[in-house]
Amino acid sequence: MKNVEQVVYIVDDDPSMRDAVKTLIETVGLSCRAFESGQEFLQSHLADVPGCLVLDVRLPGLSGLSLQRELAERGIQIPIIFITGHGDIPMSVQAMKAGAVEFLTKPFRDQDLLDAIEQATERDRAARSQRTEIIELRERYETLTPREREVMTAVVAGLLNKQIAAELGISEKTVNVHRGQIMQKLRAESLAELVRMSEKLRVTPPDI
Amino acid sequence: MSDSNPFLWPRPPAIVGYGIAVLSVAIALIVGQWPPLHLQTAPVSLFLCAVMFSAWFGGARPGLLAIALSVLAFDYYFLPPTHLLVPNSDEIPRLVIFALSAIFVGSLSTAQRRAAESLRRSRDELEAAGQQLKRINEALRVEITEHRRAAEALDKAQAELAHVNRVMTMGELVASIAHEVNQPLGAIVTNGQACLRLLSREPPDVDKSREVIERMVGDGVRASEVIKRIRALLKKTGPERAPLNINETIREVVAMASSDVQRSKVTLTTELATGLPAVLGDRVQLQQVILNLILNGKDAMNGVEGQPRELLITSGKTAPDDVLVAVCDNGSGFDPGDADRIFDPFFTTKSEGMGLGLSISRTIIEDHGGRLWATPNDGRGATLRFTLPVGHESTS
Repeated sequence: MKNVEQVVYIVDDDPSMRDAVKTLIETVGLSCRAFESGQEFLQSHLADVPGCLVLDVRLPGLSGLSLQRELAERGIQIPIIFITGHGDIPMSVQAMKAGAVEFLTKPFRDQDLLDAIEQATERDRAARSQRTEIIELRERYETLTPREREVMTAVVAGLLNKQIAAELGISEKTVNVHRGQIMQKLRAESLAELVRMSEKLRVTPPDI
Repeated sequence: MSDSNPFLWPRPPAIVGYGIAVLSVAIALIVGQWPPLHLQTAPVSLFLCAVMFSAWFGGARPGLLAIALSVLAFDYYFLPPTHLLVPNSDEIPRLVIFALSAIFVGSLSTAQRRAAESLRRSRDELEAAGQQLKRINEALRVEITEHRRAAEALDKAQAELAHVNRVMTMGELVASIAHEVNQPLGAIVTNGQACLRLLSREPPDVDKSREVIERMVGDGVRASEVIKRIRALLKKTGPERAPLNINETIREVVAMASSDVQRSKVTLTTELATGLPAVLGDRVQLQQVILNLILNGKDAMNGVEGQPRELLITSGKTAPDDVLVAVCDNGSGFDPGDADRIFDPFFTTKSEGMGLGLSISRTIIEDHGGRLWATPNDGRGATLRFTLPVGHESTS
């Protein structure tokens, strides 16, 4: 009954706490991998499925906050849920500012952790599908000819066919043909969708 | 010095020196031939003056030139036959004597000048050296002041550090207890929650539940072991029992706490009995206890307004074998019914603080074979007293 479509990673140096959290997560049918240090986590191969990281703040060696920074520097985008023995406000502020999903103080309510995991995984899933969508869109955009790209830039800028024709020095009819090609290649149903696509294309896809 | 010798101006360039030589000899010649002065027969002193002057102002070479010109002029204009360069043979000794005296005067003048100059140089150098010495002296004085200031700052920092150390040890201890115990407790709670989920399944996962409960038992044992270890630590730290003068210990702590106490506008006075016998104890632990009592007293007076905040520390002897220390404040005091409860762990009247200070203090004193107790004052505030048994050696 394990759901291998998503993985929860745990990094905690305390074996009892690590096992306890792992057991709790597994009782709700989620797949779970536990590590005893930040280094061990960094060295492991992460599966290419949505997931999140449950991270102890106080770790020997690489601390939780340092691991968070290290992951950001390596471009590894995984939502993080912090757990800590002592709820230190400045520390939690720092963690949340750096993009943590939740900051839980031990002992925490099981439902709080499970809710945070669900929320974090959902966030990861959305980010992943967005990244995939942009990559696909970029691939489609690559098939456009240079002229079609010019026409597309003009179209999404709101120019009329007549204006585009004048600007590019081609006939209105040719502009119309290009437009048709663009819509077909990018699989855009409407002008509005084309505009949305051009906005997404402007966003560089993050490295994974 | 240059101002006391107006003739000692700087040496002119060579061309001016030679000019002076020619000019002075010419003047000597003109003056010597001037009829109203009747010097035609004895112009020697004039030429010697010219030589001396040239050698002084122009140096050795212009001096030589002046000598040569003087000899020529003397020969040509004054020695018979005049207006001829070749003198009579009987005049030659006069010419030679003149030449010799001119050379003598010239070299004397040059030497004099050199001596005067080197004297002046030495004096200038001495003056410069004096100036430099003065500057070095000044710099040294600044450095000494800075050094003294740094030493004072260091002293202060050390005193503060010592204070922080004493205060921190208890705080740190508490933080470390909290962390050490919280770890297994967190695991127990999480395991318990997981277990409830396992048992509420249809059918309940009993095997897995058993495994989880076994882990919970292990964590519970671990938590109690942490507590046991800390208790042992509190009891056993301080195998160091050295004879010490309690008054000295009190004074050390008062010095440590003084800045804190002053900041709270508390007047701290001590009345320490002389001739107390030494007690056997751990200096650092007893310092902790005294510091704790002082800081408690200070905190108890936080609310005192409109009358002086006074903290009095006394030492004395009670029973033949006990030294007594009392810390008396005029703060908020406590309910007489709480006289014993205030030593319970986690009993506190302060908004911040763990309520462990007095409890740990009592453990330390009892560990030393003494007693620590509190009594409310007749007026305001409370007095905390502890006794320590006397050691074998005595101190002054």
